[in-house]
Amino acid sequence: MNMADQVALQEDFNTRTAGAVGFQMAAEKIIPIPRTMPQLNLANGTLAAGLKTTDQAVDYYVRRFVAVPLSPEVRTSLIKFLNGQLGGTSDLAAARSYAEEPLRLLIHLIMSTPEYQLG
Amino acid sequence: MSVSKYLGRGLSRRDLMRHTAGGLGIAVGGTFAPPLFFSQMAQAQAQAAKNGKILVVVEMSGGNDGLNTVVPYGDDAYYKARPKIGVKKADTRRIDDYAGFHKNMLGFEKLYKDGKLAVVHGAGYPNPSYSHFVSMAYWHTANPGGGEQYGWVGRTADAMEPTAKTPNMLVNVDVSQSLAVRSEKHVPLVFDNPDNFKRAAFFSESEAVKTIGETSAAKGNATQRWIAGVSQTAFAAEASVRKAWADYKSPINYGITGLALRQVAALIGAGFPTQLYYVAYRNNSFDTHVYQVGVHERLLTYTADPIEAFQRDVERLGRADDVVLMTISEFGRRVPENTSLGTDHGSAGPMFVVGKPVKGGQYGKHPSLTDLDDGNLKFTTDFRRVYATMIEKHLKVDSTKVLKGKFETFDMFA
Repeated sequence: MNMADQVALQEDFNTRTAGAVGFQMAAEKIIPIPRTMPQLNLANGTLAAGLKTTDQAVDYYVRRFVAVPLSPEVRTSLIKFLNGQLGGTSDLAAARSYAEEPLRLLIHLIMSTPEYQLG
Repeated sequence: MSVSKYLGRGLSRRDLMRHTAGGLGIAVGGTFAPPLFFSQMAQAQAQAAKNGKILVVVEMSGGNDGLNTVVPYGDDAYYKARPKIGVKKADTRRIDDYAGFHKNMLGFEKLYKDGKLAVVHGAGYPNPSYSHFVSMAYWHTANPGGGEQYGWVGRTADAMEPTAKTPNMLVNVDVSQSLAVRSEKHVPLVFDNPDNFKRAAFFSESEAVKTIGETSAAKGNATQRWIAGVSQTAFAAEASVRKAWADYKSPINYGITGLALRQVAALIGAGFPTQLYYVAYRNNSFDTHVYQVGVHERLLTYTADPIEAFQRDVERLGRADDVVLMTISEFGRRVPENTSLGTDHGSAGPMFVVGKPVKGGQYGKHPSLTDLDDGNLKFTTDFRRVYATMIEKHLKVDSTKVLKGKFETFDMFA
């Protein structure tokens, strides 16, 4: 093995070792930050607010999160989306047991509208 | 017309866009109440077809070693300074008795022989910085030491079209926007992979997201209408880019990397109104401090092949008379090799200008390999002269305001 290849091997080893030791030192310095997920239950909250249908839910959450009204086309699209997610029904009570994820996606969509940024 | 006074919150249009489509790296129209994107696009395409000169800038990030690119085999000082990594004359493609291209630059040799490649020697600037970030900022802003907030490509767009009515005047194919394309009036279209250039959403949300993006706020106040317009143009822009990419079919082989020039060719072929394109190597690829030889010669292949292929592609598209490509790098490398069989940050280096309108040949003087500045080349060409040449002689705009000074141009265009 010639000198250049020996140097290359040593440098490669040193670089990897240094990298591993550096990572270990950094990991030892980590201070874990406890994180608590927000304890949401949108399905219960929606029904507790007296909302019975998907269009009522869309209007409720749009008023809650968006400072300006959305266009009729977007509103219709959101209602259609929620109906589809609930398996074709607009009855929130009937869909209570599986409505959590669809409602979270609805909130996600509302927050994805350009108007959401006009706080 | 300024948008700021209508927002009523002290937000500038730029701030708002930063939080909306601009933050997604998506371009928006420059007018306050943008008409439908596609009608703007159609008008701009028609205009571009009439006088649409195009400049493509390729950034060879990291500091390309110019001496091992355009090898001065006619100067013994080169081999004295680089006994191990100096490129032998037999491993070059001859330009003249003094220098030749590195052998891996077959594409550049072809372009040079066809008279479509100009080599500008010794490009640099006074009091060079050897920091990647600082020096690249100087090349991006064309204002060494000036702290300019807008890029020279962005300022060129502003000079070419102060009203900013043409959408997507600037395209930057990269993961994030370069300072070079930062503009006061235009918003650059920035994307990386055209196939992924779309609003992220869960699959089940796709239809709703599309409606949200495309639906105008016909009612509501001026701000609502404006932000709805931003959203519409963003969605239209991404759809146009993806369509252009999907429609792009080329028999040209761009080699291993392509350098994002295929994406540029796709947009040119689709008739985009873009006149300024910017692509770059990432992660300071040319920063060859250690074991330079193998890495650098591969990089030169990755550069020369796609640039030559791009030239053939624009000829195939019938736009060869309009398109010129220029390469830059934030600095060259030191003349002597280092002890790690590489080279360290230097100063001057060559720039290359490619295109059918270009008068091929050599411009400027080779920097001296003996009259050095502490081992660094003394520049012989201010890089802003090359910028001025592109701006005035190709794009037909006054460069004085763009470059914040008068720089003598080269007689590089027929």
